[in-house]
Amino acid sequence: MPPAPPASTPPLLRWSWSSVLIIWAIWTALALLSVGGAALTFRQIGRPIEWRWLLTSRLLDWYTCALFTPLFIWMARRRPIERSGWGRTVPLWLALTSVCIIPKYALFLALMKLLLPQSHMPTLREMVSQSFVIESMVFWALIGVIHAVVYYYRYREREMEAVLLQGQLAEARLEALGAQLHPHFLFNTLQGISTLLHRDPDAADRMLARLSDLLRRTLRRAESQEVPLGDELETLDNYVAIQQVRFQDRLTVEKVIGPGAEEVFVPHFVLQPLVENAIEHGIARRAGAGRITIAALRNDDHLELSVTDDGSGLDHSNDFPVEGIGLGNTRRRLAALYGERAALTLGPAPGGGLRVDLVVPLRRPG
Amino acid sequence: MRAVVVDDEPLARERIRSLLAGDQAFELVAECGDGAAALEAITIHAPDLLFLDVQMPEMDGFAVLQSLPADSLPAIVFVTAYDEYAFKAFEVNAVDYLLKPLEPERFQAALHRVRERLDRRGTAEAEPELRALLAQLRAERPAPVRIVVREGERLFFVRAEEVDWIDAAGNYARLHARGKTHLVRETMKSLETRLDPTTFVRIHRSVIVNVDRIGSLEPYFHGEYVVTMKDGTRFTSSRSHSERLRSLLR
Repeated sequence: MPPAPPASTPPLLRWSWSSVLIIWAIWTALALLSVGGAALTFRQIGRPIEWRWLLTSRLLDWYTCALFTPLFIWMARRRPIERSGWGRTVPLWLALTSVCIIPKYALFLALMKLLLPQSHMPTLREMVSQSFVIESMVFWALIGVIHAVVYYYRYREREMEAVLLQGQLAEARLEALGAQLHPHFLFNTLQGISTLLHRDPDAADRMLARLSDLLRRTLRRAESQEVPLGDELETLDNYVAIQQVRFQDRLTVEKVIGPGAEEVFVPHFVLQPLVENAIEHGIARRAGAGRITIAALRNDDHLELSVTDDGSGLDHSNDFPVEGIGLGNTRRRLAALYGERAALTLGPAPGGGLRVDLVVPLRRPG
Repeated sequence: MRAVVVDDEPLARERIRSLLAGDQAFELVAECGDGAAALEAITIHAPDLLFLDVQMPEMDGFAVLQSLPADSLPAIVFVTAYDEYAFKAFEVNAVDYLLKPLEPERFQAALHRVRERLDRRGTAEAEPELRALLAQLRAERPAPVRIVVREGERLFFVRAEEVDWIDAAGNYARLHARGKTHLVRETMKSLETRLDPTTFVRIHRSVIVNVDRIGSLEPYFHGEYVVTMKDGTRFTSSRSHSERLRSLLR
């Protein structure tokens, strides 16, 4: 299993005055509770309560424990106890807590001698052997709380991420819909159908069916983040076929799909904005003919997708944003779905024009 | 009556062609797929009617309109799929326009209006609504102006920024650009309305100069100026046209 993505540290466990204050307050509360408990016990067995001694020893006991909080937080970030690898992490933590007990009591005894020189104190060896079990339990409770905070935070982060991804999918769907309902595209397609009705009713029917299919596929609620590339290519075929009837001999679209590529899952609606950009840059903005190449190549662990046009490239693109809204959303979705294993790059195509390269890691939809 | 269709989508041209075929009064003389081809066709055929698509690559319908001689505009029916700016401009200036997909009844109505207007005016005088649209476009959406020059059988474009100065020669104007002289059949008044007023100034009834090519300016008698171009050509501005020159000196 790949290492879990580096989750950011929960605010409470980050180094700041407010979190130090909160953690100190929690420890103080615990110390005061134990003071209260001890006082009750003394009263029950009828012994006089020495408040000065009780408060000093209890607070020192807990505060010397509290001093290890930053170390444990630091350790929890580096070597958290997780389902995978607990066989290594648990012994490591056991060793750490066992070792920490010694400096803890050394410090405790030193401070006690300093603050209450007249009281009788046991030796360090006695102290450690007496309190080893109870002290270990305190440390492990602390470790448990730290992990609980980390896990809760991570769980919330994942939930937020899922919501975010859902939002981006909806955005991509809206964009695809927007491209099809782009007034210029829609009305010119309808004009084309209207023309064909008189000359070639069958061709008009086909174009109408393609437009309907395109709209239906986009309107259909997208349940999954990812679909096989083959599905994306089918939707794209409709779009391209309509554009080709509109532009006729001005638009040539070539598809180069390597073996096995069609089964690879890619983000839903990932291709259309790229092809739409290519048509916009390569064909619609100039008077001549243009060619668009869509290539997909499956490798051992990733899919390489590219959309290339032979338009004027990046040089003349100052008047319109190359990094349009479509590409921005695509980039965010890729990052959310695959992290650093996916990439989207934009560059000049050999022989002029623009080339968009997409790398998607192979994986089944989760 | 001669008609020219300009649209970058072949199917849209085909539709207009077939709709127009039903009307004996109009003859389709040219179909153009882009703005540059349209300017050529309009210069060659001098059509009475122009179907002009608004959205086209490189040179859109408005740029075509701004590059046509303003004093001999054909009747224009704009065709648009969707363009909010165009809608507004057409509505404001009451210019004829058709929406895609084309509706036969509306198409016939537009043809009817065009025929009425052409019968009425007889002479080549641009419609006031087209002039208003042009004025609005020049202010809000200035397009690079190209002037079509015809030399024998050959047609070519001279871009406005290449022109040093223009002088009148009867019904013609002479464009002086890059050391060459081109004769175009267009009045000074029409050229003046088409050219960017911040770059081109009419300094005399028969002279328009490109401000960027002025070498020096010397006051002469009665508020007139002697204008020396960078190529050494000298003009004397007329008093009635000196106001613009004076404003340049401020």
